[in-house]
Amino acid sequence: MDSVVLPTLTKKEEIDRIINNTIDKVLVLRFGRISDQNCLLLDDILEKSARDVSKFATVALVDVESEQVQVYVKYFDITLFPSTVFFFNAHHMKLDSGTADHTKWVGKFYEKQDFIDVVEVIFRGAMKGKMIVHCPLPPERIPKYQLLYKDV
Amino acid sequence: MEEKKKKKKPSKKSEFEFCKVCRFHHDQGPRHKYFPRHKELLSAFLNRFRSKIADVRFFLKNPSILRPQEESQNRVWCVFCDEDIVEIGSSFACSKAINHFASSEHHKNIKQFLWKHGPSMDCVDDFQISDADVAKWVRKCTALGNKDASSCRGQLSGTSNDIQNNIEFERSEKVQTHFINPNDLNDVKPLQYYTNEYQISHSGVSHYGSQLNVGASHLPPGVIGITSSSSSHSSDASGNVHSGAPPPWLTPSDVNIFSGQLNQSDMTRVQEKIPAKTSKLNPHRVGAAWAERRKIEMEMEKRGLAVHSNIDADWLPNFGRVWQSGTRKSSRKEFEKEKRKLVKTDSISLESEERKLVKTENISMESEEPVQIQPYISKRARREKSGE
Repeated sequence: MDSVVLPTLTKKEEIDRIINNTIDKVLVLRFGRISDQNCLLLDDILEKSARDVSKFATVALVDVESEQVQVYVKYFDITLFPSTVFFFNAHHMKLDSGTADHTKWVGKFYEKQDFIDVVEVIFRGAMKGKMIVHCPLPPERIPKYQLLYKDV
Repeated sequence: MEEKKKKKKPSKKSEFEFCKVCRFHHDQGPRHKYFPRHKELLSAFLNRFRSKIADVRFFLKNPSILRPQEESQNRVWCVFCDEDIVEIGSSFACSKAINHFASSEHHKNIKQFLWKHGPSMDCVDDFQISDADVAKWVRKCTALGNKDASSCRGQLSGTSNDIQNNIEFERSEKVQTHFINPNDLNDVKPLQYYTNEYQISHSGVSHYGSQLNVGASHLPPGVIGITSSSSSHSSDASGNVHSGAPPPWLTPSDVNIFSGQLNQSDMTRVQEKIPAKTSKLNPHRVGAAWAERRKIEMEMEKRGLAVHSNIDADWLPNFGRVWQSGTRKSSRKEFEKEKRKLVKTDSISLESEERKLVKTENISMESEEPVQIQPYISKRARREKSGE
């Protein structure tokens, strides 16, 4: 069902276009695959809240399985699914959520309101000219993960 | 003088005629098509037809069989020929429309329309379909036609099967989600478990590939809600977000979407027409300048003032370089000749010989690498010199 409501992008050109055509709004790109359980949980939350945030945000899904989006997968260094990346006026927005990676949100949101809060904070920050914002969620609501380096 | 004016006036007023684009009668004669209002309506008018033709082109690329119950719905109004193309009695979707758009009659009508209303003749190809495409389409159709009868029956039974399958699929999904829910409750896990077995057995996280070989990948230790991929792309040569590489949506591959060279005059004209609502927004917001520019570009694209950037790397102005004698064009020719010479590496010896000659002959051929920068000598001065 989610693919009906939220557009699923499978080509680099499509992603380029949506990034370049979203003006003065936050663009939320979810990188993941539909076959994945966790991804579906996140998609459900995105789908339910897409309308609530529609005045200041656009949500789209990206299928990482597709060959043609590997450029983006590599660029954003997406090794964990689902990962959510935010843009504003074709600028990549960063989010400091206390985890190691500021460039994206890794994992799912626990509630609809969590997602809305994060997008709103990013929008407010971007309107004030900030490229990085602090996550408004309490730490127990942020999914934990660790960076593991080779030979560490 | 007054008499002359009086004579001229009635000749200016021409007969009333109907403008298809503006949908009103006017007596402005042929100059009507240069009116801004007409131009605006025309671009909207043509864009509407472009989208229609795009629909037809879709069927041209992937021909499909037209079901008898859909025949009456599948119709196109051709604005150039003032004709309704109804697909009754045709076996493939849009077949009559495709044939119509490829016909010479249609081509003639487009030309006439553009001459009467239109911006320029160079968009004729947008509104017609080439014969080569039609030939391809016919070939595809014949291939499809062989399967025709069998597939028609198959479609009906197939759809019903699909619905059943879907229902079953959904059910199984639901069961699975219920199954996993209890795991979701204990989301926050201690971080001391690093083995894959733990994650698979307890938290339902799926893994692809072996993680410990991976260069700098993220490993989720006992946390639900994350899946990791086999990072075959750990060997990044091109750089990524962390290393500050140029983002892929600004790479030159998408030139046609993004970085078209705009006419300054066009830009300002469009800019004036965009309402000043945006001025309420913070001018220092992220990417403000970019947003303004992009808005103008999008507006222009919408109006069909397509932003083409057909400028290749070899483009040169009419003159090639600073010149001191001869015409500008000759300097360009000279430049191009040299460029060609550079490609041919075998003629090095010849060039060196030429260089000697050039040095003796002085200015006219300021060629090759050691470019001698000389002060500009005016024509008169040179003439005087030669005269002396």
